[in-house]
Amino acid sequence: MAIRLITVFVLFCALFVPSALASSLDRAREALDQDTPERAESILSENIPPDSVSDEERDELFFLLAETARHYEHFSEAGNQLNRISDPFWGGMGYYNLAMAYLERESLSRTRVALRVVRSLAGGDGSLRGADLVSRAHIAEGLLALREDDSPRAEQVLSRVRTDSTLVSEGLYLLGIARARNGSLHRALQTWQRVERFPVAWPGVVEARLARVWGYIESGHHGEALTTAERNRAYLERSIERLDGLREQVREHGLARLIRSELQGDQDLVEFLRGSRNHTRSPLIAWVLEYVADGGDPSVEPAKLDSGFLGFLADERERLAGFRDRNLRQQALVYEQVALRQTERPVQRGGWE
Amino acid sequence: MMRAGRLLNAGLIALLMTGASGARATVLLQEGAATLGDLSPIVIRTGGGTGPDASLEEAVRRHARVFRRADDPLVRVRTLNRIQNLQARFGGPLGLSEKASERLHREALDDFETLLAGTKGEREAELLYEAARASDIAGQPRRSVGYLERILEQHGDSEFMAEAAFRTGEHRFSQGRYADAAEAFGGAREHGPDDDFRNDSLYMLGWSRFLNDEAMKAAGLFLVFMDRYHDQGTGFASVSGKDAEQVADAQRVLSLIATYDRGPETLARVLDAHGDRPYAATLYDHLLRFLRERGDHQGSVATAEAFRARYLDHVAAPAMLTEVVESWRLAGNTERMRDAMAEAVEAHAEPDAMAALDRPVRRQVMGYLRALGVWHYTRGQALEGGESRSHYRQASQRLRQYADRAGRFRMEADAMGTGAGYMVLLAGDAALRGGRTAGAAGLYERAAWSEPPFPGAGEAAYALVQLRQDQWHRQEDAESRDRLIADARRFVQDFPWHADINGVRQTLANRLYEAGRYAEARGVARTLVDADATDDQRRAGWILLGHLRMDAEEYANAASAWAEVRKLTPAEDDRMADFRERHGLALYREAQRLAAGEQSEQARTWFQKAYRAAPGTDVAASARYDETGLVLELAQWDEAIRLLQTFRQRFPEHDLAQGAGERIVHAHRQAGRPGEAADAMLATTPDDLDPEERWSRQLRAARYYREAGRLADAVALYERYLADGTDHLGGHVFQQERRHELALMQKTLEREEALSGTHRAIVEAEDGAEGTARSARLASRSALWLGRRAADVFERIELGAPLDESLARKRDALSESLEWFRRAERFGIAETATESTYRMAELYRQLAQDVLDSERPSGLTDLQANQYEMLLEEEAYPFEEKAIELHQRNQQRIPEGHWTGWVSRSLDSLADLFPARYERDLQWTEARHEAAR
Repeated sequence: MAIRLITVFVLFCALFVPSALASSLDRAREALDQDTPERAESILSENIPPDSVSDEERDELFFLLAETARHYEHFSEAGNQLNRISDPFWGGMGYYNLAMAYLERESLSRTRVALRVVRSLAGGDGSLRGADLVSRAHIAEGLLALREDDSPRAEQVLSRVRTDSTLVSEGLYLLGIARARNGSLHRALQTWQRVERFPVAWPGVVEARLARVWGYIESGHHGEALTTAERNRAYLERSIERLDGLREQVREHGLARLIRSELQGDQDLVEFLRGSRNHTRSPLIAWVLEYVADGGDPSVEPAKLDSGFLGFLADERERLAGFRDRNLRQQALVYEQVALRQTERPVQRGGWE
Repeated sequence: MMRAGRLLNAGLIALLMTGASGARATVLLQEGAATLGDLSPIVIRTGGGTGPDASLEEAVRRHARVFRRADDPLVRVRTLNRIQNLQARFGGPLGLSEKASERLHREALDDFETLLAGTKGEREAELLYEAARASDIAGQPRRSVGYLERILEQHGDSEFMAEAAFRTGEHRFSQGRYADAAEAFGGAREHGPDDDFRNDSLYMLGWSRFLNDEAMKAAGLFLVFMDRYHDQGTGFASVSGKDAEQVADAQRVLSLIATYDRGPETLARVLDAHGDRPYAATLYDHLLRFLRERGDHQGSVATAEAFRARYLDHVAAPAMLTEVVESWRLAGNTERMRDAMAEAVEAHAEPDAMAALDRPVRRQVMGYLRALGVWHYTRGQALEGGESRSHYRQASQRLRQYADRAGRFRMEADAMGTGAGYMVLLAGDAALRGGRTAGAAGLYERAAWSEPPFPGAGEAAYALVQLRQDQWHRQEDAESRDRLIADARRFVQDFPWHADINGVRQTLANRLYEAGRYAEARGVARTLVDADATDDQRRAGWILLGHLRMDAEEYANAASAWAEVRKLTPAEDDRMADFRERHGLALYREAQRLAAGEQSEQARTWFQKAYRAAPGTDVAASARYDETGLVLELAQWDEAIRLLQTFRQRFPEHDLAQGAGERIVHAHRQAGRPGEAADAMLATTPDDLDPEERWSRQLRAARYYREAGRLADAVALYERYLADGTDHLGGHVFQQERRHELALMQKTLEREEALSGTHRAIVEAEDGAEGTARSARLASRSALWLGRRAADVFERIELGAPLDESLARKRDALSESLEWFRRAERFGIAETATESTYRMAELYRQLAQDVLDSERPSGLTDLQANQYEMLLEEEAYPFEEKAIELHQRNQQRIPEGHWTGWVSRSLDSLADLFPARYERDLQWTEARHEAAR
């Protein structure tokens, strides 16, 4: 969980302390971000004398070279570049991206191997960020196992996700699925119940709510299923309404100002973030963190930041609306089942009369 | 959507992670849990509460909302499917109005079109089918048929093909295009996925042909249709639900075809054309019912008879007879109905023929037997005389036949609601009314005891008892009584719940009593009085118990019984007096029993009860009387007298009144009050008493007066007796004793004259009477007393001048006295005889002395005086002589052993008269007398 806090902290450092580094690495990274790997390759191959950079810059150089190779689907070359990185965390990051690339191409065994390398490298880092990356690898492995209908394996690896991970809500959601598939429906419901406490912005939170309705139906507790579905509906309506309000505020005041006002005057940001209640009580921060985790760049100019954040929120609203519609269907189905159980009316001849 | 697979913005993350502080704060899941696997389960509660109420209507409305909000055609179509399913399962638009439902389906039609645009193959056929259904519901049948025809054209091998054809056929059928419909149904029949569907198609094909005026073809198709459902063993019985409806419909069409033409004749032609069928009977049966429903009862009968003619030995042929009966019944022709019944009965009533029938037919034939029996019975009731009896006899015969069969074909009888028992009972009634008493008795007995138990068994048994009672009343002999007892006994044993059970118990108890079967009678009577019977019945039971207990000398229990009888009897009832007396008698007998056992106090209580129980009756009198007996035994004299006096007041005319009087006398005597006893005795002497008894009571009373010292009262009674009663009571001796007693009392009372009279009476009564020594003694004493009394007079007369005169008076007195002494002497009693003799002698001696001492006349000369003296001596001498003679007579009695004081005194007188001689003699005599002792 600390990763999120650190992210926000560093984000603000970037906002308020402009970077002096205008190196080739930045440009190369920008090129990669803009999906122009050939340009990044050109920058990295021409303008950066390897001997003139520090170890950290060198690691980033190899990382960017590996990312470039990955973009060209030169996975073997990407692996070679990653092997040259001395910092295991950076290496692990690279292999994680490589695993995702294998996964996109349905190369599952290679995905598994890559994720094993991630765990190996990040686990050896000994840092919080390394541990978080290991959890991320566990989640990916868990997903993979679920895809392959190996739910015992999925439960095994998902159980290893750290409780202080940035992906704990997603991990709980998936772990619930694995447990349900293993026949522990009640255990799954208990697992999903824990997710309720996390902000709606976090991955797996809404999914776990819908999964609980399913779980109750499957276990024959139709009353609870209907009650939960109706609570979910109110929750989603409320969440969408708040999201709309937040979008209005961003448009009116800008994200930077909103973040500052969240700090409540002179309060130190770190101190603010230390208070978990503040954190969970601040939907804005949750959404911002999620925006950053989703690849949003907090270091751009305010107008661009606002635009990017609003676009993210619009996508999120659509996502929540989708969940709301799904919930509505789910609710109707559950209601029908409860009604069928309660009715004493005789069933008539079915079919099309 | 999950974003687990996204790539990491490595630069940013790296930047963020680098140099991160150790701040850790967000949602703490569980203290000490490092991984998700370390989290312990949290508690969730399920199954609590009743859950929210939900209705199918709201479910449909919710689906409709989902439908309207959804943009995705697939979601909308699936949601619509759910709505359709619910509506189809539970009927109607269910939560939506018809219009709303139609609108919903109409809105979905574009979605179908959208989906159909991108779909091929079987899924297209499915979507076409669903679109057809939605169009139909949306009120666009033409569009629906369009979709279905696309299936027929483009998806001939689809699983929806058969249904599409069928529904197309239905559409054409509904438009009256029967030939086209037949074509479509033919296709459906060919492609139907299963027998069920193919049968439906065949069925509709038959209808299409029928309505297309192809009757014979249609008939053939329906026969084929029915063939598919007919089972050799069970016929159509196992067909159910929609199939059964369709089979019935097929039969109806065949009946219609026959009816439109020549009825049963047409049906025969159809079977000839398409081949006979094993279920031909069903078809005929349907036709006859069809005609019957239309009111064509003649046609119905004709159909049944046609079947019997065509299939003479068919197993269903007997059933057709019953249908003939039914048709005539429905036609209201009861006479022909009964004829038909009689025909059926005659054809099948024999046990073997009956056994050969199918159960339902047998049941009906049994019913005919019963119905005919009941009909004859009612005719018997309505008519009179010989006609009535004839009907009753026929009724009895039919009903008995029914009952005989019912034993064998019990299930049929049971199905009619009444078993054979009732019929036997009714047969018994009919026999009785038909004058067949013996037969009726047998039938009643059979109904009551030989048939399986049924609710009317009790009535049958009761009827038998009544019959037996009537017989007994007529014959009044032991045999009829014993039969009555036997049947009544069975009745009370087996039908204790019967409403008239207590009446029968009463009869039974009485007859048993009459037969001398007391123990049994007592048992029945006991049951009767304990039962919930009427007051009269219970009273009858108690009466019997009263008699029985009296007979058994159980008087206390008998008294209880009679007390119950009285409780149950209205005060104004004529028999009440009798019941009271019987009650009193029982109490009285118990008192007697106790008294005999020397339980006096208890006995007295029971006597009192008896007295109170039957006031004014003999029993009460006896009770009171006997109570006084007890009181007397207890020596409670005054109490006894009080009771006896009240008794006499209460029962003055009672036989025991006399006894009561005696007891009063007795009580007074015992109490030491003889006077009161005498008073009571006289007071209680009845007027009509026998004279002897009357005088006897009077003498007893007199005796009590004497005991009480009331001598005057006693004397009066004696005198009355001696005056008037001697002819009635007592003989001579007895009367002499009474006279003697009277004399004693007169003497005490110093009634001299009366006493004299009494003595005279004694003496006179003894004269000539055959008395006894005692009476002679009494008489001699009385004579003696009279003699003494006359002697006293004699002595008081002084002789004076003129001597003759005084002497004459004296002599008269002497004469009287001597007469009495002589009479006393004559009675021969030594004691009185010696005294008499002595007193006579002394009289003479006194007379002689008196003569000698008499006054001398004055003026006599000496001579005259001497002469006078001599004269006097001469005058006195005979008297002296006489005195000596008499004294000597006494002396002479000594040798006879009569030595009394008077003899001694005579000797003394003799010695005085002849001293020399008699003093010596005296000594000698006394010595000899002493020596003789």
